[in-house]
Amino acid sequence: MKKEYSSYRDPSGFVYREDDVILRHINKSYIDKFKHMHSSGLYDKLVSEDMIIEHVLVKQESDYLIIKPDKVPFISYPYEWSFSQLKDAAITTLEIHKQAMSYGMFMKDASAYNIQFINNKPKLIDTLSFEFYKEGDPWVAYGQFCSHFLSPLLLMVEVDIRMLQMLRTNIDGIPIDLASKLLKKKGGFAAKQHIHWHAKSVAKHAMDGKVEINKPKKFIKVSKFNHLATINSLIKIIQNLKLDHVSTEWMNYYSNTNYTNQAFNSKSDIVAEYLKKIKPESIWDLGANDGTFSRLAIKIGVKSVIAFDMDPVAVEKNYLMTENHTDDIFPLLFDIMNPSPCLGFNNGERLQVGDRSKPDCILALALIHHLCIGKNLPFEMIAESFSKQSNELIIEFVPKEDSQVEILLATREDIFSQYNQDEFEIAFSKYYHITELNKIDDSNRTMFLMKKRGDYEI
Amino acid sequence: MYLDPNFGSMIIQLIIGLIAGAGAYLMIARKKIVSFSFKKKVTKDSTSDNANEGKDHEKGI
Repeated sequence: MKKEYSSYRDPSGFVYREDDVILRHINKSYIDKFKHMHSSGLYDKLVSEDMIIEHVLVKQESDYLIIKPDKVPFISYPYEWSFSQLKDAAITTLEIHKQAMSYGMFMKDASAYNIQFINNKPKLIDTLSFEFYKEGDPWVAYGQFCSHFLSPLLLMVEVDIRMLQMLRTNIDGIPIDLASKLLKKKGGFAAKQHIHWHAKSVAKHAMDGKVEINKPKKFIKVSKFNHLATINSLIKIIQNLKLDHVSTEWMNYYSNTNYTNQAFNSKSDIVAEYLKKIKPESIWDLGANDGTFSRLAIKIGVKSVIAFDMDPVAVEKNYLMTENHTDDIFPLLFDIMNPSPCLGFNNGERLQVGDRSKPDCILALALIHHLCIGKNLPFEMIAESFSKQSNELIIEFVPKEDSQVEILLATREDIFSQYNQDEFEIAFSKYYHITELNKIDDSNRTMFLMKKRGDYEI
Repeated sequence: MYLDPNFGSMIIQLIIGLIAGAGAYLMIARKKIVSFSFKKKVTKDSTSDNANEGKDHEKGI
């Protein structure tokens, strides 16, 4: 039995692994609540609405229970989501809380880490999030909801879409006082109530210990009507948040690219041929942009594609194109030059991407020049890095004569004498066998299919 | 996950709850008034239609 490192906060139970199967231990103190969640119909309701991860009871003792939840294909964190992914996760959290209230329970926490995306649908994975509701109880997780969801969403809309990255440095959510300072007076009445007044109230009562001692928390009563009205108003506020003004250099990449139709079709045919040959079940599409080639992979029969991109607008666009479809493309924000690190206590609570799963194949199309010329990365470091993640690699080499590389070189000194196809092949051959190589028609680019050398195999 | 209740967040919920609750109450009241006057209008219209129908019948139209 190996206990999950991040599963230490909740006295109701913990998550652990046994032979690579995830199990959840439920302590005696939570058994009555767990049973109520089932007997009241709340669990079935949430399952029928696709809002909670399903589980089966595998062991029942008088002082503990063990359940086996469905497997989450890829664990992702809020700082890797796009704006709409965070928005959908926030609305799901509020809807679950509302549902729970109509079954005599409420959510005792509102952590964004308790939501995971399965087939692009946000679902609650923490089955032990529910407590009994008593008329008049305020929502104890309200502050956490504002820090984990509302603050970053408002900051993305009112300040900059890149403000999401603040969740990386604040893994317990953006502190309300900080959000208030950064928002200044922006955000309208929603921000005024939930962020600015909220920050003032927290600051005032945190400093005034007397208030807590002299006036017990019992005196704070929020009627069920007002409680639900607050939740409904939060849902409306979040639904109305829109990123109208944002666009980036990548957003129209495929319409601004130097590809002719012939070159694009040729590239698509080569990628399709490679994929049919190696038949991977899972792919990481690095630099996926709007997911054009991720979709091609799904069409060919790849079961799951994680479409990584460093551009939050490209990830957003990809998610909006994907969320209403059944195809298994999971767009995520990921910067190869600054990937999600291990975070939390002892760097063990949130894992780096490579420690969460490994794909069968990496797709690195029109990426190498950005890494080598844009970021000065040597070929060998890239090859070594890719080889640690998967056994198969489909990679496109973009030579210096390509107009996209010329653009990159236009504003910098050409110190990249080693940047050519021969050096590329030598560097990658150290880690991979080059099994296929094809020129893309009507272009000076080349596609490679590579298989990792035996001594480096995962 | 476990979260300690935060006093400042609870206090502000009281205030926000009152505002949101008042808003929701006004919305419900508005809906009731609109549906009541709409019903009244519909009843009035249908009554006058019926009355006209009767007259039409009387006229043999």
